[in-house]
Amino acid sequence: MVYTVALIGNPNVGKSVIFNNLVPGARQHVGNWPGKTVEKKEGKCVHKGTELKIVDLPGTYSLTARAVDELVSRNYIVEEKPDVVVHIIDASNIERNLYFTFLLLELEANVVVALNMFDVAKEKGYTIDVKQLSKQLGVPVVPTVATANEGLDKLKDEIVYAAQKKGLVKVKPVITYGQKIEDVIDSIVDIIKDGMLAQKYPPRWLAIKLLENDKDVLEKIKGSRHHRELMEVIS
Amino acid sequence: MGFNKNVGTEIAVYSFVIGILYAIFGILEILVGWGDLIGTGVSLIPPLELVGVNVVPPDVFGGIMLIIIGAVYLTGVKQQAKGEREGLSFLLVGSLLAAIFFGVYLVIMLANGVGYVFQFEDWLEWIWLDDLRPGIWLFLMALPGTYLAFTKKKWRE
Amino acid sequence: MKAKEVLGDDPEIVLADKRYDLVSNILATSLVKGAKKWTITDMLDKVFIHKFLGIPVFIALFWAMFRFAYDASAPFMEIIGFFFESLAEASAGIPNEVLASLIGDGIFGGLGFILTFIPPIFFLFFGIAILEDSGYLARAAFIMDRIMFKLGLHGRSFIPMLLGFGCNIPAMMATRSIEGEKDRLITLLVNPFISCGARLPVYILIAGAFFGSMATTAIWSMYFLGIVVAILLALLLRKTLLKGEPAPFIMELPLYKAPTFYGSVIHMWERGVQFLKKAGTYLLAGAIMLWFLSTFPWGAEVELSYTGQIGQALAPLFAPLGFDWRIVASLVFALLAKEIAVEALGIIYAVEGETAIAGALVASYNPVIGFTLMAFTLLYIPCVATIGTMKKESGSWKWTIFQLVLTLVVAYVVGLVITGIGTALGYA
Repeated sequence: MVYTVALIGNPNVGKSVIFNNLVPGARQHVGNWPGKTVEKKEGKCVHKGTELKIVDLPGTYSLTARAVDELVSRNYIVEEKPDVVVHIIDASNIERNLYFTFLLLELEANVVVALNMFDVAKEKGYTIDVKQLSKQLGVPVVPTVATANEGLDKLKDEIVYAAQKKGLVKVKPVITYGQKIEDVIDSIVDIIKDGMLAQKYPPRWLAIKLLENDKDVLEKIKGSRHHRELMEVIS
Repeated sequence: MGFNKNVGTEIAVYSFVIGILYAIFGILEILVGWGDLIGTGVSLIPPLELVGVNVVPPDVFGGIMLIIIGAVYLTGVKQQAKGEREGLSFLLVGSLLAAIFFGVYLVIMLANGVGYVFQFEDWLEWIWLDDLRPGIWLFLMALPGTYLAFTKKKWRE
Repeated sequence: MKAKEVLGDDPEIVLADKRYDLVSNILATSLVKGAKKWTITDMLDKVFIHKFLGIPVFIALFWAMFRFAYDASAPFMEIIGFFFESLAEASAGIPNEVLASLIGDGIFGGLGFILTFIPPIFFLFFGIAILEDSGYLARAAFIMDRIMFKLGLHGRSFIPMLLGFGCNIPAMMATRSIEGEKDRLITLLVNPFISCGARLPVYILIAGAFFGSMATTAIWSMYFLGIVVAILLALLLRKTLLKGEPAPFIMELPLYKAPTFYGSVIHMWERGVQFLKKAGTYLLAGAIMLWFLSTFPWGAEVELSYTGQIGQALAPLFAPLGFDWRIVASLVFALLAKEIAVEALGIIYAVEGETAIAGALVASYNPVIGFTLMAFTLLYIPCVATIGTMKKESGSWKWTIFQLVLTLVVAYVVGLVITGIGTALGYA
């Protein structure tokens, strides 16, 4: 069977290098996301007998509804539900990059972290306890130096494991926002949990986005029968 | 964080000389090129020729750029003399800019060479010496000194 | 319980703060930062983002890049031109007259001429790729942002504007990274005012014909004019139709790294290929259409060809600018691709080769009209391929048509101003 694997990360983290390593040039297919003008790069790769379809999502700093390319990435993850989402992080800039990981975890993506540019982090004097990081995030973390081809085989191993394990273990939310906010989130989740919205989108994520007045999510709930109820809670 | 003041002074003097040279030739290029810019064909000083080589080409904007490079070199002088490590940034960037301009002028010279080889109309009277301008030989002159400044003295902490 | 009570007016920030807190907590247990090493990036940024030197250095680097793009590509343009000229001559031998004309004049002549502009466009994109891969472009955008913010533009608009000097098509596609719909729309709307590579042949022809030793300055002034108009229009749009504050500009400054030749070539190719696609489609179609409309009715004088008829019909509208039917006809054709204007003028005057066309221009018009024509070419309706891109990127016919009208009006007004000043100064 073929697993879909999405690559995502900030610009300049080495995502293209990793994509080019996973999918050699000839096998790459470049087109457009349907109905959008954002470029879509994808290709197939085979690792130890398992076929992977790799999709390179646009490099963005965040996943808001404010920019076309961010929205494309976000909708892809939430609606197409790829088997694995590889978050490529610039280890030498780990604070900023880690924020994005949380956004992905909230999207309930099946995340594998590629801690890239590990050599640069070392040069900067950083010492990163990869095991501890992985434990705290609850996802596999693989240090890589993509430009030197280091760590990429291990990354592919972890991608395959993660794809096979998808959905088997229920993931606890890594981020909690404090009692008061959690209560509001819960109340929203309660409203939608039996409906169409909860089937299509992760309920907790939907709730958080509604609280943030996310333009795109506000559009998405318009057709729902819970619309008025929801608008009351969040206004 | 600093380095030996004697070393600093050496580097400062060197930066000063290179900076002034770039600035001077920048001004010269502006003066020679002024005529072309305002269309009168009369420059403020006549073109300089040395052994038949057009030493200072008429180029107002090119001259401004040389002055900018000179300014970068000169800005670092004070901190270098005091032995402050940050002063080296200016030497680094100045050298980088000088190298970039050298590269660009060299590539243009080579491209013109291609035009000459093909005997295209615009290049019939071209000789390579036409393109041997301050941007090229000032960089070459500065090269040994820059190399020494960065390798001989320990500046990486 | 209401969300506003718990989260206040800025829920996004409240939640973002919590996430950042969590990031700190996690990193506290898994990251140890050694003594801060003073890296090359720090050294370079001392000067590149220097309060006083930052902008001059910026100017120097971009000047060097443009010099490289236009001067180093010159002989290669000749090579391509020579290649197509030879092909055009060879096809004169084709027995069928109409076919010979189509292939010789229409395709090799017309399209071939346009393809000679591949070197400067590609060299420019190569230069931009190097600046981008090295990490400097992020600093440039950062420096520009301070200024652009005051002009109501977003710092992220800088790179699309820069790309516009090569070709407006990849430039407009690059606006996708701009957050904020209004910022993006403004950047899209004013982008065509940036003088793309295609307009250069028109400038070179006209400036070479009329301005002699000052030709280079005249051409430079077009680039400058384009930038000024783009900025003024952006400001105007911000204050009127698209009111609001630009979205905050948060950009990460990546570490500097030495760009690789191969990597830069790939980036150059990605953008340059947009221009090639345009060449393969619109320009080819345009060249053939131009050939058709000027060659038929077969054997007729230029005035009586379809091209001539169109020009004469529209000419009265442009009389205040001093444009006659010949210029108007070539401008109509330039809608397909601005480069075509040169070719069109050649066909209309029934002469071949730049020198001959230049001669014909000088004989028929005065320098004021020449300069007005240059400015008009710069500013008026963008080429069809660009219009298509605008529709795609903006997703709306309303704004695309608005852009058509806007550019035409601006071109006409600026044309009138130039004509007025020029005549007053006695150059007419």
